[in-house]
Amino acid sequence: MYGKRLRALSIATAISIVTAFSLAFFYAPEDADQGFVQKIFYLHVPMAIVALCGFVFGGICAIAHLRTGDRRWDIRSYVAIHMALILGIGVLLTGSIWARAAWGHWWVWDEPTLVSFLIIFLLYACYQPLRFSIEDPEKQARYASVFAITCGAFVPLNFIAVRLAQAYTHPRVLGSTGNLPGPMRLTFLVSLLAMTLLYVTLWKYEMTAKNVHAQLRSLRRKLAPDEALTPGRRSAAPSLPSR
Amino acid sequence: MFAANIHFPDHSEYVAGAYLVFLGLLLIYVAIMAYKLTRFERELVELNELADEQGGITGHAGRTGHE
Repeated sequence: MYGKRLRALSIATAISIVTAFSLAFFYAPEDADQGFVQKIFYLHVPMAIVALCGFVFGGICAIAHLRTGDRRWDIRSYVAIHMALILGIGVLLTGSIWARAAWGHWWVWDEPTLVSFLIIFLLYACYQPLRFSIEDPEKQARYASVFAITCGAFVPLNFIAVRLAQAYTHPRVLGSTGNLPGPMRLTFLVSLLAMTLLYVTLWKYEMTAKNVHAQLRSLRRKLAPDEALTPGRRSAAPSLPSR
Repeated sequence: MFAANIHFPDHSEYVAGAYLVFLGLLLIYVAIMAYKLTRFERELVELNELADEQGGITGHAGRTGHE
């Protein structure tokens, strides 16, 4: 039952997002250096952190899948990566908008943070084509888990490598929350919480949808066994085992 | 006349754009979920009709003494 406590979670997410955006615009002071454009960071940075954590979460679920052989872990991993990819699109778009306002360019190729995130995004963009290219569901789940673990390990390594890079043109927010003034720090932390809640809610929505689909398939098998025997179209998305 | 007096901070169009991108992504996701929900509903109606049909057949078979 993935739909359990989904309503409470959705309400908490909506409230926290409204609170975070209200704090960003009406409470947090304008940055002395960047001015009003800095407001993008209350959206962009939490989204990037949550997306990267989502990729790592996908890797952890994939480890659980390989250890236990339980297909449910593969689906959890798939949905975690799927949701992180959606946030990743948001990160790239909002980052580009910020770069245009701050630097006058939509994209800067010699900035390690931007390029490293793009590399991670493109790496995970291969996840679904990889799944789609393998027909056997067992093999598909196993290969996808190996891919998710390898890439999941690459995410923190990449993060550390960027930290060690010399070019510090990109503003450092995560490592310097202690240096942020109180109202800015509070706004940032509330935004991070809101984005985390949004990710968890969307993950649960998707898992609930997959569960409903599996239940419907099971019901169809019981009511019309002949119909259920017809092979479905090939898909990159795994499905929950139906009873 | 009122609109002419509103003063927006510098680069506010970029900030608005970034937040609209986020909103747009959320709306696209909601639309996809709505589509999925419609599909589930259609499938449920179909299965419900199938269950009614089968209930009718077994009920009729029971009344006439057939299995």
